[in-house]
Amino acid sequence: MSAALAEPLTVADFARTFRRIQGEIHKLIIGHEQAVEGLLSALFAGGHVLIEGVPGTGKTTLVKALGTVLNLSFNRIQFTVDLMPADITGTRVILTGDDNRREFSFQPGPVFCHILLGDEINRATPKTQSALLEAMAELQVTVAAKTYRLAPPYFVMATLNPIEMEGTYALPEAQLDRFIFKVSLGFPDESELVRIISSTTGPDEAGIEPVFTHAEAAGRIEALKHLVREVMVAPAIEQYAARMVRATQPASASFMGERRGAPGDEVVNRYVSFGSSPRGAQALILGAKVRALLDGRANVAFEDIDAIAPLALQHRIMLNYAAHSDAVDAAQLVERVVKAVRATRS
Amino acid sequence: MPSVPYNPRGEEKLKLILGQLSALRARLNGLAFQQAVFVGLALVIAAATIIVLAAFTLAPLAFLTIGAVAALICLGGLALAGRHLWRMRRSAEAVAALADKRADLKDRILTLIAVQKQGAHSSLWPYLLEDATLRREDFAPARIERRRISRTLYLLVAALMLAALATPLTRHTRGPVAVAKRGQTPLTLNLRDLNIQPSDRGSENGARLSGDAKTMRKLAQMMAEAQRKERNKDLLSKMKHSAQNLAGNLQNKITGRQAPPLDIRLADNGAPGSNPATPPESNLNSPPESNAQQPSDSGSPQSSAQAPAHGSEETQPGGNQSPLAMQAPPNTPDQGQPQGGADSRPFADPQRSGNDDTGGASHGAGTDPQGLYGPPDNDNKSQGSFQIAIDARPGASGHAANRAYPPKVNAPLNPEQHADEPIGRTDVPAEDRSTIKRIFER
Repeated sequence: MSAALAEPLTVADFARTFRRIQGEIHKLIIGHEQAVEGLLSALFAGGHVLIEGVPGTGKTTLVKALGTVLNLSFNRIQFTVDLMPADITGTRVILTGDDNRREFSFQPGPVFCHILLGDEINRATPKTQSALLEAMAELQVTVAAKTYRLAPPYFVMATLNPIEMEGTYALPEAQLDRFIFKVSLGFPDESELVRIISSTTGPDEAGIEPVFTHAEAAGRIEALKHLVREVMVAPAIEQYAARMVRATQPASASFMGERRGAPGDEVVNRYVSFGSSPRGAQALILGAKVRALLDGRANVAFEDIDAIAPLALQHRIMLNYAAHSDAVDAAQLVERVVKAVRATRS
Repeated sequence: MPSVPYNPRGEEKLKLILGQLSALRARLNGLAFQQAVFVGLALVIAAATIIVLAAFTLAPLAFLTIGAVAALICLGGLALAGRHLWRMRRSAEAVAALADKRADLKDRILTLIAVQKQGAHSSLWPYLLEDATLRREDFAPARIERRRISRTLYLLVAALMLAALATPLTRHTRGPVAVAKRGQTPLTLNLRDLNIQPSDRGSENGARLSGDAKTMRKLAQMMAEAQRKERNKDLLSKMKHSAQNLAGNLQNKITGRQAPPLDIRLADNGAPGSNPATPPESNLNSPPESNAQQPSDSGSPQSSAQAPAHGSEETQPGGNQSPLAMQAPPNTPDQGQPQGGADSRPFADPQRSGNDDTGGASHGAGTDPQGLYGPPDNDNKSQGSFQIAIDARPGASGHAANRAYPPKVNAPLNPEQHADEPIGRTDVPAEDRSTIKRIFER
């Protein structure tokens, strides 16, 4: 650890570093300010992020840019229907040693890195998708009864293509829940498109510079993640987050045969088959903490929870057939839930 | 991250912030207390004003209804004010949340208070403390809550003004009482003209009844008959009767209108309504509301006077001793009553006058012509025609009917003046002059 790391980080350090990383990424990525902020928030909150967007909106470019800026090891997996779990986690192969003896040796898969891009993760089978679960949740991989630790920081970014659904496997709820945020990359507007054209079709591509040196990158990022956890939250705000998560549950929600659904909003009752899990509340608080630091505060505010709710809750709400039939999406429901819970605050 | 070292300056900053929040809390709680007190007082004053006004102006049942509603609203309002005070009572967290909201501090103070109570400080605690100290001016009590006096004071002032405005009105309506208490003369009533009904126990007015033995025995019989009829009445009528009496008594207590006991001499003079002593025009021309010389303010038309349970030659003032009350019909003759005053009938029959649900104050106010038209004047124009005295206007007959013409003047003529002799100026034969003069003077 360098000498710089010996000094405690301050709120200002966090905001400065965050903005610097953001600025470097935006040298390459035109627009998508909120998506980039969400991506970095997920990184510093210690979670993983799901990126949704139509082809060509810069999903892969964004992830590559992040890897470059952070100066961390970066791997990319293109998920296909025939991809096997061992292709991700790694496998034991027979290798010949210096003494000509052949023995099984573990060959790490692409998950062994700091930043992993799972491109079009919904094209792989559920079995292969699930291979990522252990790595994402516990930062370890178990192969042939042997567990291998992953070096922190570990950050998985998975992309979803929402329009080519044929031959895809929707991510199971358990895996969706492990992504702290879901970031959507919308289609760029005209001015952004013009800037994209001029910056990517010229002779010189925009160059981005790493914010950290390779040696200090992991340590600095871990320190910043720790600082996020130090941000203080009043119990009233924790209750507010809990209330918001409970409000996503329909009244008919049943847990192990016991009805625990909150007497929620009529629209939630009508369109939601299952609301957010407790991980949603954790995501709300952690995201709010990052937002507080960016605002120069050492405390979470109610408005941080409101602001982070769409990123943290959308992908955790399972809609029923009525919602699809009436073209109601999760974003509308989250907005409604936030408004309803905010009204109870005053 | 390293743990946060103890910082004595941090403790001082925390004390400063907590002291400021305590001052803010005291101010907010004081305002909440003021609000509850002012609203409570305003409610009580307004309700009392409404009740007093109703007592002076409304009929007993209407007064009872309005009074009950006003009292219920007052009690409900007091309970709500107390509940509101309890809710407005600010805890330290609530004060911090309010300060955050009004000073746009993004929940810094709320977090500071909560974390300080928990005691488990994070490494960012000094930063939060410093941040809050720097913004101390933003949540100074005077900036968060400028008022020291609750705006509900205006409500109290409005209630006081209402009470002040109502005071002259109550004085104005006291007129009939004053008249009622003026000189009382004994009344003579024909027993056959009285409608005797059982009186409520709560009735406070009474009368001193007197009469010969035969009349008192007759009265006892009539009272017994009335009691028997009363027992056969339905529950609703009895309740209404009781409510009227209760309301009337309450009104009397509130307004202070208490008619003195009447001296009534009872007589049994044959057929009802026959009274040769009363001129025919006194019945024909008297307005129905001007029937009583002694207005009854007892609160109930039935309780105007109370008779003893058993006939006796002379009885003490009725008070609450008798369960019966008498009513005189509107055309009760006023035997023995001097003619120079107003109508001598003291009791109006409410059923016949169309005011069957009125008594007490309305009875007194509605049946007292002096109260409506001012004090009676005793000049010559009322002589021989008591109708003029009641209505204070020229009657259709009597001497006062000529008030529209110039009065006759019997002043002596001076030497240069001569009396007009119209007959003399005509060619009337001397033998017919006396006849013509008589016709003229008729």
